[in-house]
Amino acid sequence: MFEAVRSNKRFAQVVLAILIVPFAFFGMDAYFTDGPAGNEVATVGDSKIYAVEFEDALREQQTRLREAMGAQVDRAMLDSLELRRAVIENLVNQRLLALYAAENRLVVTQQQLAETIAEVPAFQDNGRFSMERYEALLRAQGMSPAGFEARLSQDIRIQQLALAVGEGAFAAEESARRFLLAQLEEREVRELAFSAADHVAGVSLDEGAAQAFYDANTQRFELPARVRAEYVVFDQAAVLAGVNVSEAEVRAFYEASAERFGVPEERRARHILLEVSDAADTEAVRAEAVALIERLRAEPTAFAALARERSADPGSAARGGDLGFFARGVMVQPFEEAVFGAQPGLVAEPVQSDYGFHVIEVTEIRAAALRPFEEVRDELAAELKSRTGGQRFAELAEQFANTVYEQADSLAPAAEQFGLQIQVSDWIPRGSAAIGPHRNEGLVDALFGHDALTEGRNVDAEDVGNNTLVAARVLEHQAAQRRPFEEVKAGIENELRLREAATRAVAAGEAALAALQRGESVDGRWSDAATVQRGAPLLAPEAMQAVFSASTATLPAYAGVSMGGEGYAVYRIEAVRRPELAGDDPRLAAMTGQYGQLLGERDFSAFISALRERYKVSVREAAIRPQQQ
Amino acid sequence: MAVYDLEEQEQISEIKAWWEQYGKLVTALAVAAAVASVSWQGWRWYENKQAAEAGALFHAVQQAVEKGETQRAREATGELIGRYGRTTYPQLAALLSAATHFERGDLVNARSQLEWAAEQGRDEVLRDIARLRLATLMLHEGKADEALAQLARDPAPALQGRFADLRGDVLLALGRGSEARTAYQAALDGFAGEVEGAATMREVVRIKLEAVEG
Repeated sequence: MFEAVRSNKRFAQVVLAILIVPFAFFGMDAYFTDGPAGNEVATVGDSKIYAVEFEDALREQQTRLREAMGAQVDRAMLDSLELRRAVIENLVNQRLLALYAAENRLVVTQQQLAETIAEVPAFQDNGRFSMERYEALLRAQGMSPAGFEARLSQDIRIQQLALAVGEGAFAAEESARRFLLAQLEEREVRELAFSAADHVAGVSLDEGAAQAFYDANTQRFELPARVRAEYVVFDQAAVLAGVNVSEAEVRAFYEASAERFGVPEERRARHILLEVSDAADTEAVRAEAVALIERLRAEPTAFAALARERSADPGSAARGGDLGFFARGVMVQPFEEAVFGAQPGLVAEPVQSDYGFHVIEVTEIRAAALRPFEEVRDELAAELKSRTGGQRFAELAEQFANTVYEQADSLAPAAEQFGLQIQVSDWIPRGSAAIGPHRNEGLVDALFGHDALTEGRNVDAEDVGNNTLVAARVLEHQAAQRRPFEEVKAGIENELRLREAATRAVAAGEAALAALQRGESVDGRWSDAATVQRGAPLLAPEAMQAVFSASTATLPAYAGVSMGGEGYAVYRIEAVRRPELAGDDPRLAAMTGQYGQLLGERDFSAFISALRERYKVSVREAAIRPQQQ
Repeated sequence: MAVYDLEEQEQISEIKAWWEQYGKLVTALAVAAAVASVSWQGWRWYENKQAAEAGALFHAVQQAVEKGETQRAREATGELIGRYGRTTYPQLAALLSAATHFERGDLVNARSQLEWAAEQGRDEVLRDIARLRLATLMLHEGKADEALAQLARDPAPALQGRFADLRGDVLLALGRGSEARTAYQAALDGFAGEVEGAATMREVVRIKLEAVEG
C-alpha cells in the first residue's frame, strides 16, 4: 500500500495538499475557537463574555464603590441586581466597541503604544519612563508586559472611536442660545397654599380603617430576624499570651546577640612606618626595622622622638606615632592581628603590611564591656515573644479555627485553649455586617444560617482583617415578626388622617384653580410676589414645572400643583421677563461648550446602541443574578 | 518489500485506474485551492498593511488635534481620504478634524470634511453622525433651510432622538413653532429608549419644548 504512495508521488502530493488547505485558509485557531462551554454570561456577536470576566469586573466595581463611599456603603446595593446589570452592560459595551474595532481593522502603532505607556506617571522615575518600574508595577498586579500591552492596545482602539464619535461633537450656538434663554426666563408669581395641615382637624376616620391598612400592608410592619451572639476574638495579643519563653531561651538569645549589648575591646597603639619603595629593598628595610626594635628595647622612651624622625606615616608621626584607641575592623589585617594578639608593650617583630614595615607598641587596653543580662532580660523576653508569636500566628490561627469547628457546640474549649474572653453581642438584625466592633458580612450571614440557628453550631472563624479572627455562636434568636397592631395603631391613624387631609386640600386647590381660570375670585391669602427663574429652582421641582409650563399668552395666568402629601399650591403668574442675550455674552460661549459635550455623550451612546443592532447581544439574566445562600 | 498478494494488486490497479480518470481534475482543483489560498493570504496581508499605515496617519491627526494644529490635521485627513478610503479611518479622522476646525471657526474646512464623511464614508452609522454634525454646522452658520434638508432622511434608529432634537432647533430658527414642538416631543420619545445617562438630555429637551412660545 505504502509502495503505491511512494511510486505515485503526484498522488501523495495531492493528498497532502488537501490536508493543508484548511490550515492555509483558516489557520490553526479555526480548530480551537470553542472555549469552555456553558459558563458564559453574555454573547456579543460571535464572542462570549465568560463568568470569570464578569466576576472580575464586578469585584473591581465593588472595590471602587467601597473606596468612594467609605463606611456608608450599602451592602445590599453592592450585591444588587442593578449593579450587576450595570457591570454586564459595561462589559457588553466594551465588547461591542472591540468587535467593531477589530472588524474595521483599527490598529495601534508600536510608536503610539510606547508613547502612551511612557506618559503614565506611575511608570516614571524622576519624570522619565523607567523600564524597571514598569515591569515591577505590572508584576505587582500579576500581569505580564505582553498581556498589559494587549489590554492597553484594546483601550486605545476604543479611544480612537470615542475621540471621533464622542469628543468630535459640537453644538450650534443657536441650540445653546435657545436653551440658555429658556433657563434665564423669569416669571413673577404669587402663591396661594392649600395646606393639608389645615384639613386634619376635619377628618374623621372610619372605625376599622387602621386595622384594614395594617392588614393590607403587612411588609411595612415587619421586624427582621435578629440574633444575640457570643463570640471570641483571636488576634496577635492572644497569640502572645499563649507564648511562653523560658529563662534559658532568653539567656541563649542574649548570648547569641551579645554584640548588641556589648562595647567591644579597644586598644591604643603607636607605630613607626618604614616604607618599602623598591621590592628589592624589602630585606634591608626589615633589617632596619629589627634594628629599630633593638634600639627601643634599650631605650623605651625614645619611641615618640624616633617616630617623629623616621615614620613614613605623616599623620601619626607628628603625634609621636600615636594612633589613639581603635577596635577590630579598623586597621589593615596584619596590623590588627599584631595589635590585638600582643601583650601591652613593644611588639617583638616588625609587622609587614601593604604600606611597609611597622614597628608597633601597644600602649593601652580597654577591655570589652557587656550590658548585664539582668538589665536587658525583659526587653529581650518581649522581643523573643513577639518574634515567636509572629511565627506561630498562622499555625495557632489554624488550631483556633479547628477547635471552633471540631467542638462546634460551644466556644468554651477554644476560649480556654487560647485564654480568650467570651464576649456577648447586642441584638444583630439580619442583613447587618458587624458583630461588636468587628465587620464581616459572611460571619453575620452565617449566624442566620441553618447550622448556626437550628443545629446550634459554632460559626466558623472568619478573618475580620488586621490579623484577627472572630468565631461566634448564636445565643438567642428572634424570627422575623410583625409588630403588634396596638403598637402601631396610633401611627397608622395619624398617617391616614394626614392622607385624607391632603386629598381634601388638593380638591380645594383644584377647585380654586378652576375658579380663577374662569375669571372668578377666590378667598385666601396670596403670598408676596416673588421672581423665579427656570435655571435657578427656588420652588419645589413640581412647582417649578407647573409655573413654567403654564401658557402665558394672557396675564395673569394660573397654574396649580399637588405638593405630595402636603396639599396643593396655586400660582398666579403676573409677569414674564425674557432676557436679551448679546452674541458675545460669555454665558453663551460656556453654554455652547457644555452643550457640545452633552451631545458628544449622546452620540457615543447612540453609536453603541447602533452596534447592538449590528452584533446580536444576549445576556443570560440567570447567570448574573446574585447567588442565593 | 514482499511480493504483493492478489488483493493488494487489485487495489493498486483500481487506484491507478481512478487516477487515470480523475487525476487531472484533482490536480487542477488542488492548484486552484492553493492559488485561492495564497491570494486570500496576500489580500489579508495587504489589508493589514493598509490598516497599519492608516492607523499611523490617524495617530498623526489625533496628535495634531491635541495641539490644535488645524492645518496638519487637515493634511493628514486628506491623505487618509485620498489613499486609504477603503478603511474606516478617513471617516473617523474627518469627524475628529472637523470638530477642531469648527471650534476654531474654520467652518469652510469643517464643512467639506463633514460632507465627505456623510456622503462617502464607509460606515453607515458614522455617515449619519456626520450628517447630523453637518446640519449642526449649517444651523450654526444661519443656514437653517440647508440644515433641515440634511435632517430630512431618517437616520439609524439609535440616532433618531438626536435628529429630532436638532430638527426642533432648526424649525424654531425658521419660526415654525408648532412643528418644532412636534419635533421636540419626538426627541423626548427617542431619548426615552436610552436607559443610561440620557436624563440630562431629556431635561434639556423638555425645557426647550416648554419654552416654545405661542
